[in-house]
Amino acid sequence: MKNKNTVSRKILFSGIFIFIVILIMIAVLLKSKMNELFIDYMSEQVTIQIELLADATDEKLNMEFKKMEGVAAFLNTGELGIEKVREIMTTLEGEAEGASIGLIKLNGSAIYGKPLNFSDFSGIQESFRGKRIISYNKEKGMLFTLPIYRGDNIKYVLYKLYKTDIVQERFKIEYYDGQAEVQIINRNHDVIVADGHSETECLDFFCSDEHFSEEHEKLDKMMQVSMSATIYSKKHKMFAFAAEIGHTEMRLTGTIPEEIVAEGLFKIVFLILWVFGLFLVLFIVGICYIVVLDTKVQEREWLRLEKMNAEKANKAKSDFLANMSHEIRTPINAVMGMNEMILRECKDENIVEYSQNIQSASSNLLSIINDILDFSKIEAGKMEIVEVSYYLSSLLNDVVNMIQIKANQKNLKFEIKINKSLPSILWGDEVRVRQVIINILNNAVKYTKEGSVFFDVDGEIEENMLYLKIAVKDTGIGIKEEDRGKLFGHFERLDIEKNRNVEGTGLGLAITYNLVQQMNGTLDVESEYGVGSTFTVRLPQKIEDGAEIGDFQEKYRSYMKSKKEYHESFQAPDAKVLIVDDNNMNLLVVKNFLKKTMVQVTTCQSGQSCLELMEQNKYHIVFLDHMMPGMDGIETLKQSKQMQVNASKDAIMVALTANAIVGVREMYLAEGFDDYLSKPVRGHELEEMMRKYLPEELVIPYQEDVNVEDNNESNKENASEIVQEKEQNKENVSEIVKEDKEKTITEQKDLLENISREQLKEIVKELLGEIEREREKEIKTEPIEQVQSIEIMKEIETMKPVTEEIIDKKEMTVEEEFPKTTIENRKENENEEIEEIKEEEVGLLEKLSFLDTQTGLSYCCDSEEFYEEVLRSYLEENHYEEIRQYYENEDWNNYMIQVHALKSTSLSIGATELSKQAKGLEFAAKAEDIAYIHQNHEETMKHYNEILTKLSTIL
Amino acid sequence: MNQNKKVQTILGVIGILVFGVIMFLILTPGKVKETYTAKVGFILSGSIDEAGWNGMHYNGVKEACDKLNAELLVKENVLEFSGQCTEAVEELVEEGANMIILSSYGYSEEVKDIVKQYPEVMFYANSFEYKDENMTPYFVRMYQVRYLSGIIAGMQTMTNKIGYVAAMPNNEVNRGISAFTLGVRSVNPEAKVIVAWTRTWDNEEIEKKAAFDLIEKEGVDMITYHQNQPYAIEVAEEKDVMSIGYHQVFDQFSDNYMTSIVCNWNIVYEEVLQEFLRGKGKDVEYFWLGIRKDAVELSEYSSKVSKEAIEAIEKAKEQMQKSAVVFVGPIYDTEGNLHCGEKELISDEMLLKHFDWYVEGVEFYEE
Repeated sequence: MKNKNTVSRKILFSGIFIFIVILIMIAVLLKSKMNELFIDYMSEQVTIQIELLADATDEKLNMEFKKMEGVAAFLNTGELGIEKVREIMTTLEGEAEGASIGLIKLNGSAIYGKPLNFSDFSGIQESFRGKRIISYNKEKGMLFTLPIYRGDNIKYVLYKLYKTDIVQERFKIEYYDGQAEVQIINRNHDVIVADGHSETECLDFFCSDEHFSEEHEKLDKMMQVSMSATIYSKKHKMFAFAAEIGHTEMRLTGTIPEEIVAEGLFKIVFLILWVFGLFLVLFIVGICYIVVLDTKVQEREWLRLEKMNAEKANKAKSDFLANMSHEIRTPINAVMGMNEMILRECKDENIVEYSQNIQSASSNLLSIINDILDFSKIEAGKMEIVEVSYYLSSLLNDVVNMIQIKANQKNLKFEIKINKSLPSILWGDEVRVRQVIINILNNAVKYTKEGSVFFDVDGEIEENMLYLKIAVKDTGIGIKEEDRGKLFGHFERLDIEKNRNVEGTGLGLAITYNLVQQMNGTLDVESEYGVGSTFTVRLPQKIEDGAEIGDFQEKYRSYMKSKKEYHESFQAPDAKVLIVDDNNMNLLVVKNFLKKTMVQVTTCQSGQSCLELMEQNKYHIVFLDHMMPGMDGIETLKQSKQMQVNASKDAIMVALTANAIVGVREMYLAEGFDDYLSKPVRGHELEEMMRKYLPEELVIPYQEDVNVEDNNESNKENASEIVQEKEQNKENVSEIVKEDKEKTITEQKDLLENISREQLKEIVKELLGEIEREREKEIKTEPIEQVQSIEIMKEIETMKPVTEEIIDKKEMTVEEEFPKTTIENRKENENEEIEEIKEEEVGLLEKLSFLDTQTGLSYCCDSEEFYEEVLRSYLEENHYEEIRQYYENEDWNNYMIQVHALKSTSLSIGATELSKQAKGLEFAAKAEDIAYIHQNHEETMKHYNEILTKLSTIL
Repeated sequence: MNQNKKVQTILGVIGILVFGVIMFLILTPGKVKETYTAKVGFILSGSIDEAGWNGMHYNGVKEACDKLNAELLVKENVLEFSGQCTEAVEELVEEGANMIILSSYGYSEEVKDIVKQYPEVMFYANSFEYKDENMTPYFVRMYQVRYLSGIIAGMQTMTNKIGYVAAMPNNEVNRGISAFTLGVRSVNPEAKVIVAWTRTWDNEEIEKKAAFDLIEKEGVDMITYHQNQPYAIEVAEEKDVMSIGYHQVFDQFSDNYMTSIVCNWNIVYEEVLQEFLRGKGKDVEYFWLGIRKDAVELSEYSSKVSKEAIEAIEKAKEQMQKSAVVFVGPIYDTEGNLHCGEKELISDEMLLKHFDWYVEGVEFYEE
């Protein structure tokens, strides 16, 4: 590029150089041409003037005849007495200034004046023939002669003779105020009237008889055929000219220097050249400007390319992040969704604990992904603050809830002090505020080994604004003075040696700092190394409702009590919700989440069916997946808005997608969605969303009071509820629990209501013994199940100390105890269930040997029932024909969507090989690597078909 | 990049245009100063190859034109008073002639009415009969050599009778007869010149008869003529009579052929042309060149010409150079009237236009 540039510039410069040289040449030519033209012009001028001068001279010479003619006329009249003639002649002579007058006869003798020799003047003979003539003799002078007639014949000739010196004086000619040299010569080149300047060049080249210069000869030649001529002598820089004097045989000739004739003319030449030069300069300046411009353009071009490359790279990064996020979120979705299910439905304390661990780990993972995404947003400058109105207490609740757990895990004291008089509803970016607080608190918890974390929320109200002040003080390791600067740097982790065991990306504070700044807030750090740090965030938030939030601690405590177990936050049996997703599993998850809210859920798997359903039924909320084969979410939304008949016209449209990259939220809102929910969908998020958008009259909020008032009752209620649910919902995992078993559980539960600590111990022992017995029985009857039975035994064994430990805990409160017992009970139930399932599983899983059932089951909470259902839906969904169709039509876009779906669904049923193949095809379609598709399509399809046929025979 | 190229193209085009315009301006020859070149139309009554009058004129005008770089357009065999002359003039004007020489005596009378139609064209007529603003006469002072040849005739004649075959009486012919007679009588006052009119410029039979008659009937022993062709000399040769030629030099004749009157027309035409080119065509009243400019001369003398005659000629010539010889008074006409007093000189005006008389000593042969 640079080389090319320099080469082209060289060419350009040499081009300009040549052009300038040409221009200069033109200027030189122009100058000479102009000179030539001017000289022509001046020659003409000189010629005209010299002709005028010649005429004047002719006139002057003719004047000499005037008086002579008068006398001649008198003399012609007849025979005059000689006396009379003399008298007349004397008067004539008296008037002839310095000339001698005479009257001569044919033989040359004079009647008056001096006799003249015929041979001296040719004019005498001519006059005797009747002519009036001027003749010249070098020595004698200039002679004017006139014939005097006697009748028809000529008798005398009247003459007037000027001597040479007198001639010189009398007929002196001035031309150009004497600046030019002019003389009168005759045809023999005798100088009749010489110029005053005798010692000039003129005489050298022009007037000398011996030396005829080139110019002179040329002029002479010209004079043979013309009345006047002017030539220019380059050598002498003068004009030489000549002109015939009227009737005489004399001519005017002379020279004049060029500069005298030119006078002002050369100023014009100068002016023209000056203008030309000016143009030349302008041209050069213009060229230079263009060159500079050109360079700039090239630079700009280069910068543009660079920018394009950078943008490409950035886009690649974004794409990568988007992909990664999508890829990671999809499994996390399953993990978290399923985990949530476990948390909701599982009453076994241990499993709930595990599940809670899973929950925290997965949310951790999600937060890391979110951190990276946030960071990429900040990097791209696309982090936006979306303000909404929110409940401060709810926000604090979430935060405290989250941190409390972490603090508890680390045995840290988590102290909370929240000003009671803070307003309850604020306007601001709830999500980001929460993120900021969590980040700071997380940090505090992370870097504090022992001691306490103090969370202080205060605020100053100023008109309509609340300056929220959040101080987080810890007794952690603190920050060294020299590290302060690095604190908010990207990927910076301070004191790495010491904090090696602390997990984190090192992005947290950087993101926090950026967010705070974007919200016009401040973040201050006070720290003493080894003692602790205090992070203080000040955020301005608008006040929506000034009502005081009251005693947060109190509220939180009660909330925590209720939080021990999951419960739906509300019920809305009259609400109708439509969920659209091509992935059956996602539908399943969402459907399950909403089960308890009694919301009427309708699902469908394509945009087209969504539109059909919307046309006929009135839904309150429509959850619409974005990436769908055929009509995607956005298109569906657009079409639904254009539909004439639409029962769900006023439905809230919520986008549902695993795309959680920069700007996605804004994109969906811009496309016309009312809100946006990212996968993995979390139960409480979904519920919040529902609560936010469902008409209030439909929502029956959860009755918290009951639970708080009487825990026993609520527990009982909960327990029975679960049982009830199991009865109601045949899709439920624990549906298979048999009636008698149910009864025992109920019985056990009834017992539990009244038993003491001691009794509980016994019961547990009894239970364990019973399980052991049962195990022995099973070993005998079913050897095949041996291994699994042993596993179960092991599990029970490991559980034993835990249960014992729990029982041993003397400070255990009833409130704490009960859930554990419930969990235990549940575990028992499950054990029984598992046995049941195993029996069936043998058949099904064996039949499914061609699938990675382990993986498949892992996606289905290890529930064979669920797995089967998933398999069924997989079979029903059968995209085989569609994929084939798209492949044949070479509709790679839809093909990609289909194989994408195939990839994830196949993975969820455990067809890992097919999933991989589909993934390969998806990437090929994305990269438009058609060759790869052609190469692998058939094989994949064959594989798919195989799986389908096998599944159809099994199910 | 694209725009860049566009800019370059535009610049290139402008550059080329500017360059082209400038080169055009520079290379366009400046207004060449027009030198007035002559395109000479020449009308003659005979052929240009003819040995006599016409050939001489043609050669003269040719030489002058060549010398002064003039273009020559010739119209041959234009008979006098046949209407062909005006046609020839029209043709020549059409062909672009800006100067027309009418080399035959009668032409000026023929064209006298049409010259005014061509004010841009300068006419030069070999006749003093008619003159106009754009028609200037030209001729040679033939009379000077006639006078000189007269000296030979006067000296050589035995019979004192000299024959003169003349075409027709007009100023020119009359002047020639008179000058010749004056020359004869300047050395031989007894001698007579007998003129026989032929009334034609070129008729062999008539001219020969005239010469024959003069010799046979009048007994002249010297003959001269004023005709286009030397038929008279042929007769004289036959009759063994002395003769003097006219504007041609002959090799074929014997010693009886004394000399010939020669006109150097090239000198005349050169002068005419030069004056025309100098723009003085209209200023010059007439061109009448004489012995001083070598426009006329005598050819080599025959061995029969006596020394005395030659001496007398040289003397007269010398006199002619500086002053006047021929028409210097006293001159009497055939009637005995004094035409020019003692030491008077007949002016050119009179010689050219009013020569309707003959000097004393001229007689006419009548059949």
